[in-house]
Amino acid sequence: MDPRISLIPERLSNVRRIIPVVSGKGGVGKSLISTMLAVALSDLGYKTALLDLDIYGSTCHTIMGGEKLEFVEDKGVIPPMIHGVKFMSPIIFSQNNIPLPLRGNEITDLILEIFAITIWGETDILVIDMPPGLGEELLDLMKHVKKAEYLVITTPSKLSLRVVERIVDLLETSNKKILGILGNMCKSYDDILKFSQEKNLRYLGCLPFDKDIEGAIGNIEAIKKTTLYKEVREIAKKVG
Amino acid sequence: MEIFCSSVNILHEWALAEGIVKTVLLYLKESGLKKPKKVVVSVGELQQIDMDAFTFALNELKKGSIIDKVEFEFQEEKALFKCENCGFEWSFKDVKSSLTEDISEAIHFLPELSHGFITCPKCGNRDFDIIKGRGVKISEIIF
Repeated sequence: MDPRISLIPERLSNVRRIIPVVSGKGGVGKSLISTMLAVALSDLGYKTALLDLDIYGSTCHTIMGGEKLEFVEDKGVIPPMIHGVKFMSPIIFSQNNIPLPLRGNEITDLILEIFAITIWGETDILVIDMPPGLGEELLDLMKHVKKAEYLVITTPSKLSLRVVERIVDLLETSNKKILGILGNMCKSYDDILKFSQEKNLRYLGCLPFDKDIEGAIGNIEAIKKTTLYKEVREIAKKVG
Repeated sequence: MEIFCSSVNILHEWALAEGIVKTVLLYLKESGLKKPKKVVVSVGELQQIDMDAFTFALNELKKGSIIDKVEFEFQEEKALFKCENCGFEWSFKDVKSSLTEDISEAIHFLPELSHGFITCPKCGNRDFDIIKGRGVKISEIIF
């Protein structure tokens, strides 16, 4: 009997909404969008949290410029607050840029541990940055976090859309709620719009490629001045 | 209150104990079984549990419940690692002295972080399996 599983519903009971940010392929901008979305939601007045579950490629802390984070231990772990967002990631325990080569059950073990020990408190929206693919992270979330509303990210590339089709199929056949499809790095949005119409999913928009974002990484105030952030803020108004 | 409970904060062992108590109570409720005689809890060495804090939390959490007076027996499970690359097996004791306090603390919270700090003593690979002694689990409920 795994004693952590019984804790998960209780830990999440004070979290009103949970939005995992998913895609099929990597490199579509999930971490940037997840982080900016969490910051934007906080700016809009929501009590917001961000969980980085991209175990191998965790970078939300880098985006926010939070390389040294202090957490509080009190009957569990209370996530540190950074830029108005409660932030949880395996990185807050190690504070090192270490590789974490985990197999199968170990990924599940780590995810269950995080959900069992994290005390979120009263939270309006928990944004979860998910890794690419259809592996343990997504499967465990689908299994244990029933109220998740999945935000699917894609680029206009045929390659990305092809894989997104698979994740949409998985979510739909598992009766999971899909919040909508959001395009990123878009020059044209026709293919993404067409895809969302074909799948009868909510089209949330298409974020432009922003050459200024790379230079702003690590500085939230600089990120907030970018065109990309302003567009994400509009998305936050739609999904919040 | 000594090490494990300041006037403000209680160690995260409380969360682990909470899982144990909740799971036992849920199991009894769903199976319709009566009060057990004993609950055996396996405590994995790798997670480096503060047993005073853990026991305190367990006793507090089960107060007033059907398992209030039920005996909880703790069995330490020694940690054992096996390298996926060369097959070498080693214990936590073999590597513990090389870990700083911060690293031990990190592994205490998330045992899987051991992959970031421990490598196979024979071939240096990080791809190893934690065969035994990872964390806390219910071994047996005895009626």
